[in-house]
Amino acid sequence: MRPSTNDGVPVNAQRWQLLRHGLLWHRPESFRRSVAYVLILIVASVAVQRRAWSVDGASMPDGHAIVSLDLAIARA
Amino acid sequence: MDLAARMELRHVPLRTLIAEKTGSVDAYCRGVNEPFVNNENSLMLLETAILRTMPGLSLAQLGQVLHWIRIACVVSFVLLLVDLGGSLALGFATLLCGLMLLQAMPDHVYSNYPFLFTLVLLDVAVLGFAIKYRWTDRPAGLVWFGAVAGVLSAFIANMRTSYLPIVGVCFAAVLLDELRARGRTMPLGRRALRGLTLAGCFLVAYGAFQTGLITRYLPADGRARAAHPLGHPLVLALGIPENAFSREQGIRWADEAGPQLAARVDPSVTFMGPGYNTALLGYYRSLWRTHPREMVAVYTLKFSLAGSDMLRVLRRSPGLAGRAVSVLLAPVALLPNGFWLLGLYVAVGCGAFALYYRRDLPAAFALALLSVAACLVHVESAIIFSIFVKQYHNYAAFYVLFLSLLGAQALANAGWRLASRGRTAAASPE
Repeated sequence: MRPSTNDGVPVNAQRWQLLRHGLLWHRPESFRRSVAYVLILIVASVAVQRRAWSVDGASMPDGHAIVSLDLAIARA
Repeated sequence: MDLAARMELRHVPLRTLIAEKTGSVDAYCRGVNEPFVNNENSLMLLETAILRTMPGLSLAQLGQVLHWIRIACVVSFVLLLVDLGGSLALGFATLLCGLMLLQAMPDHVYSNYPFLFTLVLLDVAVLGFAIKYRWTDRPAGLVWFGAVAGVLSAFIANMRTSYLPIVGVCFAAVLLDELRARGRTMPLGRRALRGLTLAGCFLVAYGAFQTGLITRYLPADGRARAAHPLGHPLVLALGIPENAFSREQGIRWADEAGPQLAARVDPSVTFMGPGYNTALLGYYRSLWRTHPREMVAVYTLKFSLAGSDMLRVLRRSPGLAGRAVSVLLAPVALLPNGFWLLGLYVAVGCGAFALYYRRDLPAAFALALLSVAACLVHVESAIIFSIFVKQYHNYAAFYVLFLSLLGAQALANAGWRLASRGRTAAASPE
């Protein structure tokens, strides 16, 4: 008997699909699945590059940025 | 506010700083009554919106919110990529490249520069999803998409004036696609009417953003200054890199050189004052009339350098990521100079457009849009600042990294196909 999951899709087929989706350019599937994949990628990137997700701008050498901030404070 | 000079106060809420300086926020607001014309206003509009939504923010927190917005733009592109069939490895590497580029600009957290590549990615993501899911097939979708694309394009053009051609050409490609049959039985006249409606919604939304949020607050004589002037960088960039002709003419990349050069045409103009841009453009034209050979030689030098300097700098990035980038960019780095690099971008763009129009692949359309943007940014960098600077040329850096990742993806797919054929041949009976 072939190993299968609850929804009836063979485990081997699922493994191949995961491998294809992980490494190869493949036929597009549902948007919901894409969103789920991207959420996984976000979590993975936070795990790998946590520092890249936060910044602490300790300098502001750009005159345009200073003027923009001044105007934004005045308008807000 | 003198925050730029006292950055140790960046963790104190801005409202507290204002109250400490002027007594109260109301007193500060009453004191702000001097008109000032800024250029490239999208950053200011975005910061205004953030501060209105979260008034208790400190400067550091504002920078963090700006950073997350940029990351969200990169994520939207990665979502498009994965949704079009890109592998998770490609999506992950693309996300890491985006994060790496943002991390490489630590001095520009509060600036518009890190928005350059991220906003192009957002634009491509919006247009790519519109093509994939045929948002314009329904009348309501046509109107809404035109309006969203118009507002986004106006936002990008007001973040960086020189990106107006990019958003214009990208939208034109979508408009052209609307005129195609695309398997629909709709007659050409009706498709043309839909195209006109789409263009109309785009223009109305663009105009509403420009007028409603920017132009109407400006005095009549200051409206032209809401965009970055062209003559100033065009002339001063003749000195990048420094060359014999620029030395002879006294042209150098320094703001104070501009009025001196403009005065050779019109001695009455002042820096960025009325007539300044016109005088510099007149001076630029006079250089082409009087020194055509020298000008051709300067631009040959600039176009050769553009892009190739970027590859050299990127491949020398420090650390593990730097070594990975060096390996990734090794094939592209074989191209001898910037002309070849531009040729590659044009070839990829034309090939991708051809693929889309022949086989209706939305992924090819997205690649074509990215390539159009890369060509325009490359030409801009060749004409203006030919030496690689991360904050100016981060889109070019992103594109060349992404193109190399796509090459690696193509190799992986080809390898898999070969292996599959080998397995099939071995399994089949003789």
